[in-house]
Amino acid sequence: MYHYDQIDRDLVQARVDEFRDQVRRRISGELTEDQFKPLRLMNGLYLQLHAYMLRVAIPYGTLSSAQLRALATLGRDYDRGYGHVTTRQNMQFNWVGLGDVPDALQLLADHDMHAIQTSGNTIRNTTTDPFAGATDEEIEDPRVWCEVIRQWSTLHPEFSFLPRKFKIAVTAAQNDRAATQVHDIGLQLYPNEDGEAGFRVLVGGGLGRTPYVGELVRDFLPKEHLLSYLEAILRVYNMHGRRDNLYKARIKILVNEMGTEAFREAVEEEWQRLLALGPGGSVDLPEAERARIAAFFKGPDLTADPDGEAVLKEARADSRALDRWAEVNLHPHKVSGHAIVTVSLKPIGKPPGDITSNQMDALADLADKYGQSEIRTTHEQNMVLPHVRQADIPALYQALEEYGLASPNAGRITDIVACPGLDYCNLANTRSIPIANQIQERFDDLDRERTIGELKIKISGCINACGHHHVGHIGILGVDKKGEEFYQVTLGGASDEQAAIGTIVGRGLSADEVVEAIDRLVRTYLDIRRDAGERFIDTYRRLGAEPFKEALYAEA
Amino acid sequence: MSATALLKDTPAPAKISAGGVKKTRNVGLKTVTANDLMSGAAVYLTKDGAWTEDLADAIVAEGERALGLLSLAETDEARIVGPYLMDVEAEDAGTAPSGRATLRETIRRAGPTIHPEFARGV
Amino acid sequence: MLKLKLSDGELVAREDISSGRVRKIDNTRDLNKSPVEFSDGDIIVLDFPTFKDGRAFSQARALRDQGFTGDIRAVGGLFRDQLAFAARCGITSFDLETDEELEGLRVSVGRYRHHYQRPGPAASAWEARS
Repeated sequence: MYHYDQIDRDLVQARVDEFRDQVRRRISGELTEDQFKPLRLMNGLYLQLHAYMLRVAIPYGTLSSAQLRALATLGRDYDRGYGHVTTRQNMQFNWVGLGDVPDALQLLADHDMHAIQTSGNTIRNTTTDPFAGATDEEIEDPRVWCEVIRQWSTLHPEFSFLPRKFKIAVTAAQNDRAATQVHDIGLQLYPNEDGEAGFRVLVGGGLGRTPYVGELVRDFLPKEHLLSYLEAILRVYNMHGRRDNLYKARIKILVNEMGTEAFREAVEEEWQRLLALGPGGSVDLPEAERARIAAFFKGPDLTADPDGEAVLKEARADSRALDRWAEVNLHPHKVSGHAIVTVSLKPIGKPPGDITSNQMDALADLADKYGQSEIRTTHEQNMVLPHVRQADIPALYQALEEYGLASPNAGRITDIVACPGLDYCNLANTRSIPIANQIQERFDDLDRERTIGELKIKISGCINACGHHHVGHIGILGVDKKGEEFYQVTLGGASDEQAAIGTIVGRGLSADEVVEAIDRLVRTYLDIRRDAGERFIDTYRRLGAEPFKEALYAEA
Repeated sequence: MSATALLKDTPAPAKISAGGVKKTRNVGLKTVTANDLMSGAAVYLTKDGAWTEDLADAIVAEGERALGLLSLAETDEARIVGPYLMDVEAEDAGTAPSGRATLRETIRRAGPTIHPEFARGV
Repeated sequence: MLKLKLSDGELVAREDISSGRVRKIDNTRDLNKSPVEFSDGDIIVLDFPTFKDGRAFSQARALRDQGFTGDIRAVGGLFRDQLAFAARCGITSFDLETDEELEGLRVSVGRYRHHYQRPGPAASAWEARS
């Protein structure tokens, strides 16, 4: 993974010093809250219902074990002993005191981390495939480009006061685990006919109050021109994105209002202008710098182990619990005898995505012992150990189990994504986490969960859609009706390569009705699916909303 | 001004912030609430002009007087952030959140419903 | 109002003695699509109606990319921590609505020794690395 050099370190340190000074000015009264608010928001510091919340950037979801330990320490020393993995692969802390924030940021800086641009109308953390560098499905490691984008977008002088926030995702695998089609910019790295890798560029996707799947703006962008092309898109957006209405300020509205063709032409014109500046004025990264960054992502030296598979198979035959966990929490690795391990942060009845400081420390130790000291966060609010020997899996499983990190539910109905909701969030209308927990408890039966198979439930406590409900196979959106919590169900959403925005199927359900209604949906699916191999989303795509609609409101 | 408002003797009560992104009108009993500058904790204005985490100690007011207290709170940036008027009602057990934002204010007062270990004394 | 200019990267107080033509540009104008004519003695004034409105950053870069070498002045709602961004986009003087001390502003402008991107008076990180 990428390691900071002195330049990176100086820059992050300067940011800590700057923020320390800003906090001091606020506390001393030199800055009013109106002046301070945008400054703290550019550094991931929100004021929520009960306390300040600090959102820490985890660039493209990659952490070293030392960094995970630093996050554990942050949680322990400056928070209440836990952190929360977000749907942008970041980690947020819910109980930080204003006076402690500079020290917390210093702790991060000492471990090559920061909170830069985790909020504000800036280019946010670039997200990617949590299996990057470990799966054989990708043409190259997309994190090279994520790091290029991280550097380019950090404190960008022109694009730090955009009309609205801006999110970029990159995938290099056909199987899109980065939700690239529902991002402001989605980048899909793929080989052209000559076998050269380039980017398919999608613009204007996004969730929130006006969900869209991104529009194809460029089918093949040579890699070396990534930054100039991004710069062209951002400049068109910065100049022409709407600033008169907060709810119409995202780039998706601009693309929609201009029309994709006109938008593409505007970007093309701007891009040609940038290209014409020549190497002396170009904003594109020179090959030497790309190569320097790429060298960090060569990946660990893994030795193929042809016997690993048999060892694991034998252990699975001996332990039903291990077997059940392995069947969903393991993913094939590009090196034989290895596996990619999903560490579920969705134990039944706990807030989705929460991880305690003790668990973080334990996981860091396990990453050192079994996983090449590397950890990933996922936009589905889980963690991943990307490089584990299959022969080590039984021991790893046992250790994870000990720390409550071995929930056998990756991708299943209890692996629910949920925003913090009204339990923490100042913008929320309704709670999300209790609904997630009730659904988990209803389906807390491993055999039944296996029968149901892959089913993604995503819950948001308000229309801002931080819980990505629009792209849940079953999405749940909390709405406030005269002070009461109601929940609207959407069906058929997906954020993978077949991305789709879920369809609203009818009136909102009261909090008491939700769980039973979801159960009816699931029973209906089990009745009408073609066979055990047809997932919920497949059945929905085959038959549409109608049979589910009946089920949803049957007894309500 | 709308036709219905013109028919009334007095203008409609002032529009006020209700916390979060919501707006409401200045009707009924109110308490001034905010977040503590340093800890971020939900706090309430007392009759002595101090701030307390205990809603029972909050000053309750109505109409112009409530707006006056809010203006006073708005000048107290050294101690608090984002003051607004919340709806309350007087119960036997003391002051309690009321109205449309009851759930939000109950959670601000008592802590997240999912973490009983972080509950504040109610 | 604080009248300032950048002199060799340092923020200093400014006396208006220049006789250059002052041209104020509307901040909605896309200067690449609808360029303005300029000559080197001009002072081009860009507007930040609020600190949130970052359009003039793009305008400044467009002017520099088009070869304008005269003074680009930022007026309006910029706050102190934005001045370094403005400088890197090619802005060279400021009329700031602020009651802050010059010293604090100078610290902010000089805060970052490095930056990752190409635009700006100093070398980008990748140039410094090579």
